[in-house]
Amino acid sequence: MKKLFLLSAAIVAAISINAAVVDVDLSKAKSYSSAGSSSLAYDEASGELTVNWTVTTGWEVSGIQIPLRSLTGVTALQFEFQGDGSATDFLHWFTDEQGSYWWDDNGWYSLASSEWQSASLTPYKGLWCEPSYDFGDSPILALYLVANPEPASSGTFKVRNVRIVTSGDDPIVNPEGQSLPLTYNGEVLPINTEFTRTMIGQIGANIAIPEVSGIACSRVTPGYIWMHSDETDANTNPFIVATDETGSILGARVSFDHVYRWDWEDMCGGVYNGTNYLFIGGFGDNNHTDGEYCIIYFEEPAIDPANPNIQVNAHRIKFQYPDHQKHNCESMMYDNVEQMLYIVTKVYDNVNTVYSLPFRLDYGDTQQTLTRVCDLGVTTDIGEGEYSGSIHRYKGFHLATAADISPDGKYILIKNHNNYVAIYSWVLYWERVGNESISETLKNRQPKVIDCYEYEWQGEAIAWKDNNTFYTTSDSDIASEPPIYKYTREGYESITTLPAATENRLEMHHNILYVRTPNGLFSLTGQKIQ
Amino acid sequence: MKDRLWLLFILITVVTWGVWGAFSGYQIQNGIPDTVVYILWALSMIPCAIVALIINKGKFLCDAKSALLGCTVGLLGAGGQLVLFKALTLGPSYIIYPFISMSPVIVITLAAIFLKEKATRWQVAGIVVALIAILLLSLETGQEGSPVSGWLWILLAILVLFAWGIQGFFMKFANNSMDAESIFVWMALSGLVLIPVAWYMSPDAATFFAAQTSANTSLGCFGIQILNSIGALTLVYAYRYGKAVIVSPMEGLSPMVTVLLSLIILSVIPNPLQIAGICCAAFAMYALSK
Repeated sequence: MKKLFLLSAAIVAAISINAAVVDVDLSKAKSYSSAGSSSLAYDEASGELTVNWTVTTGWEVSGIQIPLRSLTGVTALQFEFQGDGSATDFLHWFTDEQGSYWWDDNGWYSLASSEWQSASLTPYKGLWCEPSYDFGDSPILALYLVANPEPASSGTFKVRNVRIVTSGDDPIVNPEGQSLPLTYNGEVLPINTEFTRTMIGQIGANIAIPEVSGIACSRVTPGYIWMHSDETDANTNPFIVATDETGSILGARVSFDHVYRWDWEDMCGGVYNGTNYLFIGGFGDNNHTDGEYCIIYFEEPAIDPANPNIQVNAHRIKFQYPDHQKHNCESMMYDNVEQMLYIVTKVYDNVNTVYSLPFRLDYGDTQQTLTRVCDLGVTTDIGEGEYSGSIHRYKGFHLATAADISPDGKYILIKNHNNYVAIYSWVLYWERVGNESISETLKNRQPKVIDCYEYEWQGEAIAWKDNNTFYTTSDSDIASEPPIYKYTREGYESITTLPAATENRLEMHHNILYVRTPNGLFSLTGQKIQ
Repeated sequence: MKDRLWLLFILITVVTWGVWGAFSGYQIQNGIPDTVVYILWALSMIPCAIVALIINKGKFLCDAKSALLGCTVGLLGAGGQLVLFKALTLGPSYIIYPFISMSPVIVITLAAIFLKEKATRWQVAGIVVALIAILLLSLETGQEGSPVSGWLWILLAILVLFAWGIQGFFMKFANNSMDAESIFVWMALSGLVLIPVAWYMSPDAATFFAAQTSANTSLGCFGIQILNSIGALTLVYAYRYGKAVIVSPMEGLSPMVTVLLSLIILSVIPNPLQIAGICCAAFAMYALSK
């Protein structure tokens, strides 16, 4: 009897040691949407996360992703959820180490009830396990709780008490928080918390520009954003547009007198010898089959919404890479200080490479060779999961898709995108020190990670408005009216975004006049003070 | 024409100081300490002093009397500014600023007594209304209260009031025996001499200049302070050609320009006190210039 008791106790103890329940910190959740949008509100007191979601196309997804470190040994997912009374289904997902979706064989949970319900799910290798689904072969570190309606709709759900039961392996919640830790020279990158994000508009259907792949803020007509498309009837009719900052008013539609190489992937603006130019990168080469690349440039035209149709005389700089190889590239930036163009290749691992080319007007039709600057050696400390047949290993900052340098040449942004995992999408921020070149900054300085960056489906565009404000948008289908996000450095909100002047009043503090608005106290030059 | 030159110069002062006032928030936005602003202002006097010397064909009066008068004007102005910084650390700005804005009263009193300056009835009315306007335009609004420490701040505020009042008087007095350009150069030199005092008044200046971002920020602030210095130069010219009892109240009306700029450019409606201040200022300028 005594032996039996000891044996039972040993079994219980063994189970206790091996099993682990990990609470998921919902405050670290990121919004995610493949077509539509979702916004999150976390209530610290109750531990409840409210998800307002919209899905613009049926069977697309919108919800949350939570950064996890590993899913090794996961045996169950437990959570409580509350619907909003709609009949829309609610689906839980999470992904395994091999890049496949798993979900519970019970499948769906209904949001029809507005009562709190419990769910306890076990992993199940589901329908979409085939390697054709391009999620890479590294451990996927996201937990999905996703609304998945049919037809397209919107709603709200709440979740709380999300727990993952493991067989006792390492804890799985990413300890670094909302984004995966990126490292540079062995050190985890610091987080930049200077910026706040606001959605200031959406690219309207009336703008009629599909798949915006690059943007540049107008310097000639401030308040407008230039955009180019990744896909039009471009070979015969290439164009770019300018919209106001809300994306709803067409300011200009520019056509070109020459049809240069298509597959435009990024644009930027810059000043050369006192003249404002716009640059468009004709260097997309997804399949490494092209090999003929160019940068198109022209003087930035003034924008007059009353007369939007403009034709410009564009020129091009033909270039090749120094290794004479074919590369795909989707990022370009111009430094006003050095009058230098920089481009960043787009690759699946962490070896996005930066090249430079001095901008000149007299290159003519001669092919120029870029100068290699450095690799963006920003990595993650996650392991290399393998998946047979897959060639993609997301080991770090991969798939660079947009870049820009602030007008004063001091701040550099390079962003990537990973459509399927929000926490794999980052905006990196470098600060130039003293009189060093951009090359030296990128080679020698540790970047920071913009903490408030909002994941965007096909987010391929970024541009500085001024030295303290930048925008991002995405090349989602025009039907979904992709949002335009504005990121403002703390204390630098522009007065142009404030409510009607009648709501504002002058205030004198310490013998200095300010404008008091519903949004805070501003200096007379439009900078937010409080 | 020459007898109206004072009006031209004081209007330039009012406008440049009014525009300067519109950019004053730059200091707050960029966290520039008051003492650093002082240092940059003193440095911004240098290019204006060079311009003054060029205008004066290189002539600079450095005899003892001129040096004494010039330094008195300069040290009273710059020293008053440093005393004000100290007063503001101890007392409420919403009392100190309106109080010291009444310094023209001192100028007018001294000029009337010692320089026997007289004014017409219109000008007397203008002086009175101008003082009301200055007070109205310097009243702080939206204040949530400032900490008050002891009573020393009252003494310091009185010191500033008299320093700036006496400075105005001496600016006119010195103009009677020396050229305006030399006065301004002495003012610039006095301001520069007090830079070490500003530096050691608080550790903020050293901390600020040690920061990597200070160069660009300082340059911006320096550019703004140039406006202040230009206004100071034309103020000396205004005192040269005009009566102290008239010029002094007008120089305090520059906030009217700042408020009007806010109205025109930002469409911000002034509060009732500011509107009353603008009306009074407009009347005062008309009456004083008659």
